[in-house]
Amino acid sequence: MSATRHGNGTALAAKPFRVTSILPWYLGVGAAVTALSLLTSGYWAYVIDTVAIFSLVALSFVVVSGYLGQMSLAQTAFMGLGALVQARLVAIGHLPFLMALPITLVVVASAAVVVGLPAVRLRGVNLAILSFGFAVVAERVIFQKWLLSGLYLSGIPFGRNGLGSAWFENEQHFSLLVISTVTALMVVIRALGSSRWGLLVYSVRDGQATAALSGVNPTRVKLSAFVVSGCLAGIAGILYALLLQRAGWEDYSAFNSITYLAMSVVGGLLHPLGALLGGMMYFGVPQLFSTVSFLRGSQFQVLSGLLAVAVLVLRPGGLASLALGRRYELHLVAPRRRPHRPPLPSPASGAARPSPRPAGAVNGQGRREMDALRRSCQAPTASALATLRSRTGERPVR
Amino acid sequence: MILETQDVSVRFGGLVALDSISLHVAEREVVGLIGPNGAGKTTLFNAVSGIVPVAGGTVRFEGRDIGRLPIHRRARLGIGRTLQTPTLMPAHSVLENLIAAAANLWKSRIGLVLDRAGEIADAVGVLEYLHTAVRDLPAGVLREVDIARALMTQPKVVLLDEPAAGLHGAEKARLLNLIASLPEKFDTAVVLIEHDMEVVMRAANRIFVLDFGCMLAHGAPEEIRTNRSVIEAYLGVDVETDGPALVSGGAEATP
Repeated sequence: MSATRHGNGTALAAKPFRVTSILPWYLGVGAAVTALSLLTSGYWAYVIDTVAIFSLVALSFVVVSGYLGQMSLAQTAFMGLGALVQARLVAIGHLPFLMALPITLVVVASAAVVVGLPAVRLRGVNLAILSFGFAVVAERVIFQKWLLSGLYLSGIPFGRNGLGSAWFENEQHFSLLVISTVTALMVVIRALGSSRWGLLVYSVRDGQATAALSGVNPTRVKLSAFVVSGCLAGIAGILYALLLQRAGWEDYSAFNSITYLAMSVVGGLLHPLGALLGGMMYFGVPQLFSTVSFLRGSQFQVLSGLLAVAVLVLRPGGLASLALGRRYELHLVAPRRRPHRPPLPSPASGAARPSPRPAGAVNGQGRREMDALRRSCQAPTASALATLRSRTGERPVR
Repeated sequence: MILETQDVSVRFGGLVALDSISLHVAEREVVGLIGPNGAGKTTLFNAVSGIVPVAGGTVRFEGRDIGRLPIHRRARLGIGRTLQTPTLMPAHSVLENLIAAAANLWKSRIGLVLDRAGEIADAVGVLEYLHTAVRDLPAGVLREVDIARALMTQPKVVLLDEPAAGLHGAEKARLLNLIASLPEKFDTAVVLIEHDMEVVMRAANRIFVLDFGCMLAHGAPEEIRTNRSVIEAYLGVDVETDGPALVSGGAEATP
């Protein structure tokens, strides 16, 4: 019975997530992009940098819209805050770059909390409009009136010497910094997506009431996702300002949020690969096509619009779902490839499910799987329950 | 008393959904909560678990007034709850859903969480589905998984909101056995909302009857079965939906 129902029997279909299993892929792509940027120079190196930076922006949408399922149009505000605060601290305040960075991130995180708090109650369109309002206020008041008042209204000069080393003045060295930062953050976000924190975020996304009834604090989970997303956007903003060597408010206009959201959706919201594909689609492919003489800029825009529609109609999961298939949703412990379906009731038995189950056989299989899983998670196998009881002082589960 | 509501009232605007309801649940007791549609059974659950605010009266858990605590704090104290329609993470496996629901073990190592998930899944009888995505589960198993989910916080009382709704004979029987075994296996009390009289009468030690937001009667299953006002409430108001179940249940018991 057990053998037929579980097919291959001994093989453990479920594997716990390990960062080491994804590292080769991410480092490989990072190295390939680095090689590409070393081979090119001037305009194309600039294009590669923008693709990397806007992939990071898309990654911030992956966290807030993909993992958490909330619509945020305040990402430009986080980018701008990151860029302008960092530029003010470094270029005007003469603080070392790495000392200013934590301060900037705290400012950005606070802004993310301000936007995230309404998200505790609001959803969907209402939250989109509210966060967009925050982006407009940030652009008009925080950027123009507070951070860029007077002399700096046209932007703060923010050269790469601000990074504290002459080494980064070199264009290729700067590319290396951008690509390695983005690659590292992609790995972090991918790992977070398969962490217990990730599970909490998905549980709030898929059923906030159920999550709260299980003891999960939805407010904290939502705010933490907003803070992570905001910090990603803030870092992207800083890198973008360094790339342009100037931190001005026009580059972080609220209306850009809509383009960035479109980029993230077309790329795919549930996986960091979607962020990379979205960034390439919106900031790499157009530049590539602009060199082709028979496609003018406006023609390409029409083409890319049609392509976006086609992707969303055919694969609502975005470009990433084309490449990833079922692995698109991130898992801490992957489910079986093929869903386990109980056999249909035989007309003789009359019961819908085999009523007295072959308990020994089936549960034996399940137990073996649990044991294997436990081993692979490097957990104590034998005395775990005793430890649990003595540690937490909780009542035993019999 | 593990759980106690004292004169609890809930209002939605001008509508009085619950009118001074007093209910008490002892440790390891199975209590049934019945009543016609719209009687306020789920509203009472919502008031206890913190989803709707209480307009008057107190909700006590282990003697402590929990009326002002948010939902997740009550859950961590030991109030488990299932919903009429389970909303779990559809793309994730049963195991992952259980891990996410282990809020009390958030700071413990993953090994402990896995152990508890395995034990609870085993006791509830869904161990073989541990690695199946929730969207691929049969309806009956989904209910069992939701009960397992509610048990992950090691509750001292679980509120089950119509766990047997939409299940057929064999599935229902399995679920009934599970519910009856919860106090012994998990050291928890159970409050059960159920339309199927047969299920409630067999599972519960005591039964509370709600009607139009008021407590109509409470007592042992036999008393409820023969209670005049309960029969009137069911037969007089909702003959088509709830009447026959009670009549058939009553007919079996009274010679």
